[in-house]
Amino acid sequence: MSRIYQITIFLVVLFATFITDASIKFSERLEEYSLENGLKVILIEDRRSPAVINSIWYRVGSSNEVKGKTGISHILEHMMFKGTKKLGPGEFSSRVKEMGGTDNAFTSKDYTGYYQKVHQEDLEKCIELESDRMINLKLDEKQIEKEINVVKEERRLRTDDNPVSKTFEKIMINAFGMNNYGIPIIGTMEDIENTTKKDLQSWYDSYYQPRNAIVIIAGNFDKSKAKKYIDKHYSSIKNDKPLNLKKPDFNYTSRSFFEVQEDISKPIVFISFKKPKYSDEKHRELYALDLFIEIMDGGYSSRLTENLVNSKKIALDTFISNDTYNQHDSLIIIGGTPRGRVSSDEFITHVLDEFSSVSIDSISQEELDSAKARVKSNSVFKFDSVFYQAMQVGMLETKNISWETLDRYYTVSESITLDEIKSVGKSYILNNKPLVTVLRPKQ
Amino acid sequence: MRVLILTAVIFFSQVINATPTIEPIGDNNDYLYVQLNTLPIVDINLSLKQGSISDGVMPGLTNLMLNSLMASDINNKKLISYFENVGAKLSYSVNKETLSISIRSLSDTDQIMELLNLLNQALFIETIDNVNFDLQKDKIIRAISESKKKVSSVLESSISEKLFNETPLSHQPLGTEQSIMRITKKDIIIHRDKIFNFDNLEINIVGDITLKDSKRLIGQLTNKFSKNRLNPFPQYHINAVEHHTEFDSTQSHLAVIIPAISRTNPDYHNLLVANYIFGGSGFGSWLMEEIRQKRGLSYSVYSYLSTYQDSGYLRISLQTKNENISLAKNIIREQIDKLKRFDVDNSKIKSTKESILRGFEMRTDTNRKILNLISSINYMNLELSYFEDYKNLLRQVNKDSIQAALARSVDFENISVFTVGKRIE
Repeated sequence: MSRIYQITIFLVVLFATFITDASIKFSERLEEYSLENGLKVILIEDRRSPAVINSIWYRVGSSNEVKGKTGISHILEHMMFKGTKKLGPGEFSSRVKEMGGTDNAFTSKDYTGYYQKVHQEDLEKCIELESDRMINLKLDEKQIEKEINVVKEERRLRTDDNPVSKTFEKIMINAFGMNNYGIPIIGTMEDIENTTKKDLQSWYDSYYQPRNAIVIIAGNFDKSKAKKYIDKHYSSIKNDKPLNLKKPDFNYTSRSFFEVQEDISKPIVFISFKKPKYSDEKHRELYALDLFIEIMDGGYSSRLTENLVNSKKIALDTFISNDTYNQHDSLIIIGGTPRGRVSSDEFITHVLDEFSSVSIDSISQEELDSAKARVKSNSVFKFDSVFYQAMQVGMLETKNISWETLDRYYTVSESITLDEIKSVGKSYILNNKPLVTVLRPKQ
Repeated sequence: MRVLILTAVIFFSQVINATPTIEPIGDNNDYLYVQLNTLPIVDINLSLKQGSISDGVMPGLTNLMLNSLMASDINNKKLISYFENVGAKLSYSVNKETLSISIRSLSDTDQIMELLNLLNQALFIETIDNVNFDLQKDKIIRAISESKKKVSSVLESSISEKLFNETPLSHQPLGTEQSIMRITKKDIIIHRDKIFNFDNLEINIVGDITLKDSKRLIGQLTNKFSKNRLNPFPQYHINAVEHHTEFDSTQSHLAVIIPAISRTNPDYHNLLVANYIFGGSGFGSWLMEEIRQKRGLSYSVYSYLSTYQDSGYLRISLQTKNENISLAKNIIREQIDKLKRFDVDNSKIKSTKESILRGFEMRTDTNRKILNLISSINYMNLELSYFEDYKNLLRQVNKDSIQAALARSVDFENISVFTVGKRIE
């Protein structure tokens, strides 16, 4: 047996252990630290290709906005590509393109993020570009006017001509008012139109500061060089203004039922349940809730599909949406499309029956094991995309939840018992008041 | 200690290899393989070069067939549940020219063998269950009804109908309500036996698996495929059309289609560079500058080369509020004239080539992207030296070659324009 062959076997043995544990962890590839100005830095190594993701995340999104100024985080995201004291409009993206890279940005309820995917050799140039627009953004009236038109087109495309998105928007407003997660990320058409340079400048000054930002670099890069670049380009940036994080909540009343009529072919039913914000003390309970939802509708062999679509034939499809790490009160939304002549009321009754005490108590160990198997494989699959690794970490860190939570998720989920699953199913759904919305075809 | 150091060196050198090595499985160029041991994942894609183009007189037949087979019960359990119970993923789709089934699993060869055995049983099931068949029909009919309510889907349907009038490409893979209602279980079985043959078959495997095991997997997956041969599809001429569909929406959607070339045409790399500058590269492209940056007319505007097996076209797409559609069309026309002339200086062409080449190295950063890439290589019958060929051919592109390719391979005299939206006088 040759030496190389022996080494190969050794590698195979090492790797086999790695596989059966399904234990790829961020802690094995991640380093975090902060600069003196409060900027948090997270470096994630993954050397599968020469590409690196440079991203920056600001802890501001639509949930920071108020009625009358909705959509401002998103418009500012667009304006961040419209030039700085050093760069002209569009020049940021042109520079990235010259590197053969791609860039984009995204706004959510809790964060606004920017990223470039470039060759490792171009990392410093991107860090420099990103740090420049953290302090030097130039807001030009004419550019704002044009970009507001672009955002209005985006709203028409994503929401106004999309009955399901429009209904989701109404469901969130009904549940929370124009407050926190009730505020549409893209904003109302009226607020988009009325956004001024002064509004945008104030938003930028308030939130785009190093202590409110996280730099996440993921992929193939030299860690010590990356640290030097970050220090060189960010450490001199000061926090000029106090963070504007507090805003008053206001009262609102949620209707327990409302209908929407749109140009669709079949009704769609949405049954929503309010869910309190994530807290670390409750993480085990919330992971159990994730597993419960996985059992109910995590796949095509899950309960709702198996019972309502395949056996009872009352649904064409079903869905459940849930955010594990919501920073404000949020919704678990359960729904689907009634089949044939099944009425919306019958459909609602059948769905709620699936969450009855008898039904929840009949969840088997086999169903739980199947859900856990999916959690296990997803804990590996999620490492395929370097960008998604940065996304997962960024989505948590902007909510002040440690990335270490990601490593804990699989281990904790593995240890969750059937009793815990049944308990969360009852407390979050069965013993919770449903808010029902029916999206009907226009008459 | 020495072994550990050597191990680290071997592992690291494998990890930083930028372009994957593509190997045929068992000397068969229809079966391609890339070994990647960096994650314990195996991705498998099975493709048949038979999409809705093979539906014949029953639009939607191939799609209904695949959905019915994949929803089969094996030993009183749905096929999908076997996959989901072990955390594996199974997905499938039919487009105009291909039928595709993809599997992603943790790298456990015995488990994958078992899943492929079950998949094989489902694909070659003897009878289709009535309940399952009715459900699939209901789901597809609902999807067809819903597609008539979506402006983007209405646009795609009108393009297919008018552009490929009276050819097998003229209908959408979903088919029509009338056709779906007419299709019988017997039609499904006959169609299955016709198109599931080695002549159409391509398999691509990427990930943490050996070449030897990949060969075993293919044996498991294909042991019931027939050796039938099907006639090749005829070539199609793209007709020039100007068509508007009235639709109650706030935006109009526009598609402009210019007949061009297939992926294997020698002019491909010239047109790739031209399109990158024209509208294929987002911000900084002519279309994005004129439509979005200068005038704020649209959130999204882009162009791409769409290639069928023997033909292709350059497509431009945008959406804008109904009042602005005429203005947007005029700007697109001006930009097409500019593309036709292609009076671009050499430094721009040089920097564009460098940008594409630099970006090319970063296109293979996930197992999934590598699988998609080798599936395309396989489908287009490109050489296994694709990565080197691509770079070499791109380096040869210059202004003269682009202008010649545009004149030779893009039919600017036969431009089609499709709009869907509310006409504002």
